[in-house]
Amino acid sequence: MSLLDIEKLHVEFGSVEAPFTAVDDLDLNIEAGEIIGIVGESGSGKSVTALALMGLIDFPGRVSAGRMAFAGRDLLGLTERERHAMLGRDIAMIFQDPMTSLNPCFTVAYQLMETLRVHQGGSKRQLREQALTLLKQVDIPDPEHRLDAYPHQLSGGMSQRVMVAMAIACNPRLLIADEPTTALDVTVQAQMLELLLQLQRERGMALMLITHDLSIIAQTAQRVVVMYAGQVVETGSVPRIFKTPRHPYTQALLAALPEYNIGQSRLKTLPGVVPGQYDRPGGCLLNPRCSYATDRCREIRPALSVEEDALVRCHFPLDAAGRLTHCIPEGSATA
Amino acid sequence: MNAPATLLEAKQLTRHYLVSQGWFKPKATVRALDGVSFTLTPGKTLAVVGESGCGKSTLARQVTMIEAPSGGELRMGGVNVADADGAERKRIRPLVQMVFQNPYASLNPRKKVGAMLEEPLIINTALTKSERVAKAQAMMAKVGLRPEHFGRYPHMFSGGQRQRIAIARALMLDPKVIVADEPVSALDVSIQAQVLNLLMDIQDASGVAYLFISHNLSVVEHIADEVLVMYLGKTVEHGGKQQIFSRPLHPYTKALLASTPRIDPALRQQKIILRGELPSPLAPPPGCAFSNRCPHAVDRCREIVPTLQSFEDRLVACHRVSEIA
Repeated sequence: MSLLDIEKLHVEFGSVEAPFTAVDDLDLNIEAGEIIGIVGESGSGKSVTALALMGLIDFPGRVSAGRMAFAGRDLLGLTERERHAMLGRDIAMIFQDPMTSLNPCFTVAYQLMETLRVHQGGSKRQLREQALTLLKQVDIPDPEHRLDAYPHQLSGGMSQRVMVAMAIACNPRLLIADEPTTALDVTVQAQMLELLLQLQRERGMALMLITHDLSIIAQTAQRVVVMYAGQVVETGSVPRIFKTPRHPYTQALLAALPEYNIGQSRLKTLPGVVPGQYDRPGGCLLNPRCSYATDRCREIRPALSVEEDALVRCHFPLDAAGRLTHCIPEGSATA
Repeated sequence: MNAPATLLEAKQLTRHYLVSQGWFKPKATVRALDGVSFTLTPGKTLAVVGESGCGKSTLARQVTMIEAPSGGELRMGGVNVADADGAERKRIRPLVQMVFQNPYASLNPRKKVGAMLEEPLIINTALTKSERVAKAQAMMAKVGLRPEHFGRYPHMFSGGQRQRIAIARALMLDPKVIVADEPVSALDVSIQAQVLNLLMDIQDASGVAYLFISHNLSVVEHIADEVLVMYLGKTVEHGGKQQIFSRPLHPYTKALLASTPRIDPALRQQKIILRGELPSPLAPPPGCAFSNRCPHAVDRCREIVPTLQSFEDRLVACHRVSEIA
């Protein structure tokens, strides 16, 4: 049984008459102790997925799912109270901007102890002791001193370490990290990823890493989910997806990276932009930007289908050499 | 062909700021930029690399003449900017233009695209209205905007298109140098590639020189001709792109390259995880500024500030460069 099992997650915003679908029919399962990467450009629905999972989508957003279970427990049927008890303990989350996710009015110790008090309780001294241990675990220099620091006295990297300490305080089985290193410098980013991986190994927790940076996923995750405009377009194991992407979007995204264009004078580009709320095309969502699109792509929205070792949402998935596999029907020249 | 003339030359460019530490305490000095030298030549790109707080943006402010440097010399086309009078400055200023990081903040939301592109012409030239419009339209075509975009407001554009507008605006006065401060870091991968290509196309067509400021090394590797690595206001390594990327010599450059995530496992290097973060520029460590994070630091590094010296094919500021190279 998977640790997390989501079927047909659907998140909508806006009015009921003209809803905007932020996440469309998303299936996701995460095994215990697995590192899964969710990658996509802005507006692809990756953060909304995490927020929906944490129950952080407020009215007028609407979340529905065929099934949403964590370790066998149905998340949809939980009362507000049960859900609160579970979040922060079994599932924890760290956010992108460490400077704004800590409360500037309270000390590090207070904020760490609050998490511990809510979920497990204990005397003030015990809690403080535990908070100190946590700060040591996330490699904060001079932890005794930092306990009484306010967030503005910490650097970006240090604040993010405090966020990680809060997230792991109750030994979560799943840690969701939403762009955990985007606001950090490269050398601090490397420290942060190393820390997350080390904690993941030591505690055997599952890690869901949400990022727009494909190279971070390539270096850390075991499995990757590629999202585009609210839909999963491809999932697969990490070495495979970077070597032989099956979906034209994954292929184009990789081809646009400077790393794949070493020695070239120009980068390969994916024309156009991610469709927004009002300009989602009919048929396949990628069709106006896809160089392989045919009439069928413009009319029928493809379903996620099994393609050897991957799930791909494309009428004409690519083969291992990056070429089209299926014949393009006659009379519909490539656009 | 002769060696191209130098467009812009910075010699030991320095900018110190005085900051208040409280009512009764003496003011402290932040050495935001501490003796940085480089030259820009037509059609070439110099990339300035470093982490936040290393003085990249201060450097951009000096080069664009937004602030006067507190020391050193900035020469533009042979003229020393510090000595230039008002009329001379007015002539020099349009030669250097800037593209900012965040296209959502750098465009005035109350101005139409056309008005934004015409504004520099109104201020700096005596062109008539119809000539200005024609010039703006031509520039829009050059950066890949459609003619109907002329009368639209910035909110109607996506991030990539906005950055195109910002680039068009910077190009309106035919500058010789463009300072691009993290121009693609706010953009998505697929859009980033489009904008980088546009920048390179413009350079090929007009021979403009770029001072390209970025923390993203894979972008720098793609676009730069020369690389200047900064740490806490000082240059630590300066040389050709090929040399620096294939064989970084300064321990900081090594750590930066090793920290950059790579997709191809063959490109990944042995990880060098630096301890700690950039020290406060108010209280930099004595000796080499990098000494408290450097895996190779010895006592000498903690006492004596290393100078930027020529080593093999580049400039490096490290006491132990010949030992660790």
